Amino acid sequence: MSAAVKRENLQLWILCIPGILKVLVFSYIPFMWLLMAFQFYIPRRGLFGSTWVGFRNFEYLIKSSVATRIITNSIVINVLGIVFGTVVAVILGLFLFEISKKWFLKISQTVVIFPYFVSWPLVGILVSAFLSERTGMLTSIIDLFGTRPDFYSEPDVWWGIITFSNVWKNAGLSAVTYYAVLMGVDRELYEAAEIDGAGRFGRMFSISMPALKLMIVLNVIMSSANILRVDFNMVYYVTNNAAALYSKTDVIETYMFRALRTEGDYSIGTATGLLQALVGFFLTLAVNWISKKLSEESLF
Amino acid sequence: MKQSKLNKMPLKEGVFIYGFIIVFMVLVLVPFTVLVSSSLSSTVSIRANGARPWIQDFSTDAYRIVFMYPAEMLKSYLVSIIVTVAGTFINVILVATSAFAISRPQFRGKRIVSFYYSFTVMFQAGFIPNYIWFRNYLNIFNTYWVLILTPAFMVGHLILLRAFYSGLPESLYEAVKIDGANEFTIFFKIATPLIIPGIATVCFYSVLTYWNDPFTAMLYTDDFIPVALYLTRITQYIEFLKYAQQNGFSGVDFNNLTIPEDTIVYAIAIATTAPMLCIFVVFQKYFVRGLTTGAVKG
Repeated sequence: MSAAVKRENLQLWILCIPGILKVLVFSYIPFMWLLMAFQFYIPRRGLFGSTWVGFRNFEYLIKSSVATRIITNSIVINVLGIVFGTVVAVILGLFLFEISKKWFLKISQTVVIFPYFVSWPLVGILVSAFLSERTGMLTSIIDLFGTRPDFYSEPDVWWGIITFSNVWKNAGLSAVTYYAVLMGVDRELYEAAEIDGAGRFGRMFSISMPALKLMIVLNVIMSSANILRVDFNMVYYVTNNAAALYSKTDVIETYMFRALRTEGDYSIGTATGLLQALVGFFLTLAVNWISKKLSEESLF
Repeated sequence: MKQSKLNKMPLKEGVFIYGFIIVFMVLVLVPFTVLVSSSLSSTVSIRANGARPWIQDFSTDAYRIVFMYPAEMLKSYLVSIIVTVAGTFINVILVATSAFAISRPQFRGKRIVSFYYSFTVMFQAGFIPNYIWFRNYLNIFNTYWVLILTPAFMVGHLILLRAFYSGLPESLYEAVKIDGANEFTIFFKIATPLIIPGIATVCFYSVLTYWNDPFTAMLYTDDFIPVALYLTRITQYIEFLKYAQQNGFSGVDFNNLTIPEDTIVYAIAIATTAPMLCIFVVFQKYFVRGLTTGAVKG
């Protein structure tokens, strides 16, 4: 290495230092406390004073009914979110692309992205404006037909409500991403298809969909890597953290949050987190491998 | 270019396509209409009929009550503004410096540094180890630091900015290098000013993340209530008002106002979210640009 290259490299390393330090302190050092998963951790005694219990926390977790509940709920909520989110976003993106009226396109783009800018606590309040027992709009309308429902003590409907909120908040954004990809497709393809007599929906299937295919597949498999990671704020605020709904709405994150802030049960919470992180890690590796294969092949 | 495919849309298809988009827009807008109209209705009519997308028995009581004791809300605004501004600033600096370095082809640490960062996305300790570390050892529990630093250095932003920096041709730097400029000069004086659109996009994402984040404050603080969390403290506020009304509160006259329990939540929701939502809508072009760059440069 010449002296100039060496100096350059040193300077570039120095530029990285702030980022490296931040990540070291906030992401790497905390790994040490993953050891709590193998202990009966007592904060007063610290990591080296607490009793080691081997895999007992994991055994407890797997045997308890909670594990089944939070894993099922996490997976179901994520799968529903991926399926409905993708379908709605793709349709919306394809349709936005067919819009010719500029003013309509502008307004509709702004409107569909808008919910993405809203915080989950506000979404929770919007949900309660429709479903609350005392004043909810939907509650009072159903009441006109005879029975007054109490959504917040009816766990069975909440997979649907959470999914609806999820799609409502996020689908517009992905739709605009798909729209952006379509804007990059060669116009002549569409013109040629038109000359061939393809209808609007025909072109959507024969040109737009293939153009989006790779991105849809990549998005779906990337979300699959996070199948056990649920957006804490979404579940916590949309359900208003109603304990009566836990049988369908308690997910890994909300369970860990309670273990930490309500019960002070650090070890069980950490064991849960470690399992989740390990599954996530191997899924991410798999997904990276698959998506690399896919995008390479698609290039040719 | 666009005309040829857009001249004629057969009626049936048009109804279907426009119809779908309009239905989606209505589903997006109705909840906000319900929110606004309920906040401007009297609590008695809301209690009697339920919330509706139109104003029932117009009343500004809810807003008057909200602004009667604005101190708590203003304090929340202050917390959110401090955290968002400082956090965005720190996040952008951290991300930009590293993104520039790993975008340089001659940087030998490129691969290892990239891996060091991306590993934190693949495997995370989770919030319980963080909590113990922050609280018992780092002593940043319940401080501004934890709110500002924890979300900083978002890896997605790193990837976005790296794509922007990589788009700059190396030849740009050759001339100044001959004049003896070092990498710091290139970073601050040449490369970064050229990717201001990318920086703006990252700022936008960053502000959005910090502003709408109730979780960090809920998890790592006891006394900080950013506006995203303030919404959830409404029941406490109503209890306080009731107490103040029953026991008399120095210098405040309720004028026999009934506390609008069922509409005050909507008024607070609007008072705490409307200003920022307007700002997001005004600046959303930076947001959309980030999406397109991400999509094209993958």
